Order: sequence, then C-alpha cells, then structure tokens
Amino acid sequence: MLLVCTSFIYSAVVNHEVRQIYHIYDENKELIDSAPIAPRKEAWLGTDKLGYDMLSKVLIGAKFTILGALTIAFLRMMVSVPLGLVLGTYFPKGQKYLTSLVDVFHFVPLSVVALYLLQPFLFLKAGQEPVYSLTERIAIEIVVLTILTVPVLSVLIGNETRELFKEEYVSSAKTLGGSKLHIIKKHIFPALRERFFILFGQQFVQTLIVMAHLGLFFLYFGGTIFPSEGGDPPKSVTNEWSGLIGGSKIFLQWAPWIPLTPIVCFAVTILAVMLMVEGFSRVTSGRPVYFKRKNTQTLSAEKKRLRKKENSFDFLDKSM
Amino acid sequence: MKKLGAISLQFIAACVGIIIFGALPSLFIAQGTGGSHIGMFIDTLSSIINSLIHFNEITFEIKGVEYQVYKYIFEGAFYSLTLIICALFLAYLIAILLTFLTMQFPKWLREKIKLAILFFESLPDILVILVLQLLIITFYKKTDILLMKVVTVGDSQAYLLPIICLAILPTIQLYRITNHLYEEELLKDYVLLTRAKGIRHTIILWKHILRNTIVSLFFHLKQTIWFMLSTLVVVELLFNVFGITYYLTTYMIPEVFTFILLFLFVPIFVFYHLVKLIIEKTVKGGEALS
Repeated sequence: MLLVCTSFIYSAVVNHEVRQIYHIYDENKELIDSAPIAPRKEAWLGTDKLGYDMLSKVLIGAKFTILGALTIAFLRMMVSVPLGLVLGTYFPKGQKYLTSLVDVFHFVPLSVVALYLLQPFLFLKAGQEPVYSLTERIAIEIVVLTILTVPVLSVLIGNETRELFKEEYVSSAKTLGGSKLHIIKKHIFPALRERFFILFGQQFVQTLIVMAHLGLFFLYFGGTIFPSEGGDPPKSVTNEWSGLIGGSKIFLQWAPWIPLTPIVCFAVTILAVMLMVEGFSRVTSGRPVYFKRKNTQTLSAEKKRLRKKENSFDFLDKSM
Repeated sequence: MKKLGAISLQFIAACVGIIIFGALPSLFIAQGTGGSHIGMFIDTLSSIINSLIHFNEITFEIKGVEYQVYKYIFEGAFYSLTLIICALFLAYLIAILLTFLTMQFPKWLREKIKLAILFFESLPDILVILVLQLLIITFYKKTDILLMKVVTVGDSQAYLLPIICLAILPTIQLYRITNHLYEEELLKDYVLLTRAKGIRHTIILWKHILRNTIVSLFFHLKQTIWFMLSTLVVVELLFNVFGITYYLTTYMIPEVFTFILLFLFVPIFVFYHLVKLIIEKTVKGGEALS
C-alpha cells in the first residue's frame, strides 16, 4: 500500500518536472487589455505591468532556475562527496578541528555571503558593455554557490564516513587485508549512497531558497540589468524566477499575483523535491526520511516496535 | 579551562576568516581596472585591518553626507538580535507546546499531522512572509483594524510580525523534530515503568520526557540559528527594518562589510556558546552536546 502510494507520488512529481521543463517554448503573449491584469481565463496567472503573461514567463524561466539549481546541487555533491570520504578515511584525527572551524559558517547568513561575493559580477548597467558574458556570469554564479557549502557538506560527509569506519564489518574487511580505497569503494560508498541522494535533495532545496533570496536583492541568476534612468525595476536577463520576484516585489499591495506567481513556483518545486526524496527513501529503505530520522532499526524491528506501542496504549487505557 | 581555550581559538580563527573573506571580491574586481589581482587583494586586506583598528573612523555616505558607521550599527544590531533571539525562544516554546498537544491525539491523526508538516516545511520563507503581510493588509482594508505593524516607518519599529515571520518555519522544523524525539522516547522502558505506577500520560510527558529530550532538541540550535539568519535577511528587507542586515546589504564596501559582519557574528557566537555552556552545566547528559 505504502509502495503504491509512494510510486504514485513519485511519478506525479516527475511528470510535473518534465512538464515544467518542456513547455518553455511558448511565446510571450502581449495583451491589449490594460495591464496588469488580474488572473482570469485568458491569462491564468494574470499579467505583469507590461502585459506579459505571467504563466509563460514563469514557464520560460523554469529551465534556467531548475537546471541552474540542479547543476549547483549536483556540483556540490560531486565536490564534497570525494572530499568528505577522503577526510573521514585518511584524516580522522584532524576532523575534529576542521569541524569546529566549519562550525563558524553557521553563524553567518548564507544569502548575504553569496550576495557579497556575486555582486561585482552580476550587476550590469544598461547600455554599458558587460565585463563578463552571459555564460561566464552563469558559470561564476554556479561556481560561487557551489563552493559556499562545500566545507560544511564535506565535513558532514566526513563525519559519517568516520562513524562508518567504526562498524564491525569495516574492521573485519581491514583484517582481511582490504586497503582503505577498497573499503571506501566496497563498503562505505554503498552504505552512504541513499544518504547522498537525500543530501542532494536538501542541497537542491537550499539552492532554490538562496536564489530566491538573491532575487529580492535584485541579484538574478545570469545577471541583472539596471536601467540607466530610475523608475523601472531592474530587469532580469534570463526571465528566471528569482528575477521575476525581485523585479515585482513592489507590486505586492495592488497586484499580488505578480510576485506571488514565481514564489509559488519555488514552493511547488521545493515541495516536489521533498516528495521525491521522501518517495525515494521509502522505496529503497522502507524508511521515511522526513518523518523519522535515520535510525539503525530494521524494518521488522520497526514493526515490532509499532505493535509494542499499540499495546502500551491499550495498557494505559485500561489503567485509567 | 581547556574548553574555553578551544572556543577562543575557534573564535579568533573565525574572525581572521571573516576578514580574509571580506577582501575576497577584490580578487575579481581587479579584472576591470587592470590592476594585479594579488596586489589588490593584499591592499584591501590591509585597509580592512586598518579600519577595524580605527573603527570609529569608518563612515558611509548618503547623498554626500558622511555618517559614522558604528553609531548606527549598534542600534541596528540590537534590533536584529532582539528579533532573532525572541524568535528563537518563541520557536522552541511553541514547538514543545504543540508537541504536547499532538501527543494527546490518536495515532492516525498524528500521521496526518506529519504529512501536513512536510507540506508546510517546504514552503519558502519569502512566501510565508509575503502572504502574512498581505493577509494583514487585507484584513485592515476590510475591517479597519490593524492587527500588527506591517512595516517599520520612521521611529515606530515593527516587532511582533517580524518575530512571527522569523519564528514560523523554524517552529515547524523543531516541531517535527520534537515530535519524533517524543515518539522514540515513549517506547523506552522507564516510560512503561512510570505507567505501571499509574502516573498520568500528561505528567509523564511533562516531567520525564521533556527532561530527556531537551538535550537532543538543543542539538538543532545551530541549524535553527543558521536558518533564522537567512530568513532575517529577507525579513529585514521586506519589513523595511533598519536592522543589521540592512546595513550589511546596502553598503557593500569591503571595510564596512567586514566590520558589520563581525558585529553580527560575535554576539551570536557568544550567545550560542553561552547556551551550550548552560546546558552542559545544568542538564545531565548535556556533555554530549557538541
């Protein structure tokens, strides 16, 4: 029952993502009616100040946002997984110091740090020849956002690796003469694989949130164009979601659908990823992530526990 | 004593890290100006250190008028820290209270609640804040009753709504965690024993389980603070609050930025380690907290 349910959610989620990515070839629809138009039949999500349909805008922006966030999350994992494994395996002593150093990252807001580092690259003045090209800007943003969380992530993975090295099967593999590299390949990595997927999902969500925050500060993925004369809000180069938020947040009072559309899109994507992670972990381990934290009990033990729990509730009723 | 030394070492390392970090962007900017990267970096680094020593000389300009930074920062930092610490306490309090409430419900209802939590947890903070603001404005328009201050204008500072906005998502996260901890704790033998003695469910929850879960709950303090700081940035922007992140994001000059970042970092670092120290000293089993 649980399996069916999960796969159902999972496939629905995947469909959702596919639809978002493949419908981006819609044309921008210019409406004659006085903009901004509230959501209605012709334009499901309303239009913005200049009359662009929010739905198609959002759909066009989707590819940049989702693919960008995916790339960043993926790169984060690609860098931190090997680093973390090496840390946990070869330098278990130094880990403690490194952990306390990295701890410091927890007391500085990530969005501000990203904002500070990215500002020089992404602000373009209208009419002025940009120092960096579009691809360069996207590349720099991806690299910066990737590097930001690598220390925290690698130490996390390193800690888990170190814990795994204390397990009995690892020490028996050592006794049998397995080298450290062999142990990583055959024992540690498979044991952590599920965990990596969950981490990946969390990183993806976090990237999306940071991007949304940056959008509020007019710092858009792919670059921001500031109009030379004041008045118009800064424009996004690529129409991606964070740009849609930043440019429209002043409309909140009298045309709330303009900023809310991209934000709701962020919310939907994040929810989709969360459900995917939840579904994945239910399928692979029979153990939900977000409902229960990682524990070492097996499935049968869990069932036994549940039965025990019901009993104990019965017992309470009787006693009262 | 040894521990204190370790913490202060960590503190100094962090400060050095922040100063170096403050100089980082100059590495890249040099490309446009034609100067050499490393030279530029070292220049900025020395100017940051210099200005930190003479911190009362750091100024920022608004329309040609120079203001001294530190006077404004004190005010902003105080405001921001009030918001964040209030929100932190509020989040912990509500999470624990809600858990008590849910523990009274039957099991099937609790499963439903968990699903709802998953949904709420995935909402981005911007959405929550904007919707709350919008709700209060619409409510005001309809009924002419202003529930809370929506933005800070001039001297009248908004406190309640920013704190609520800051606390809402961490509360949900903590709520999920406490819920889970409680359910695990309920299966332990000593709970069975107290039940056998005929002690009521609510008293068990209050007296025994709370005491035993509070340490693990504080394991998440660091994550919660981190999350809140990120939200704080957005809250201050959307509520037009002249808090610390306002200054942080408005004047992106390396010297000023580093100074303000230190201002934000130091109190929170001290606060965290104080709370940790208190828990380690007072709660049994708190030594495991790290």
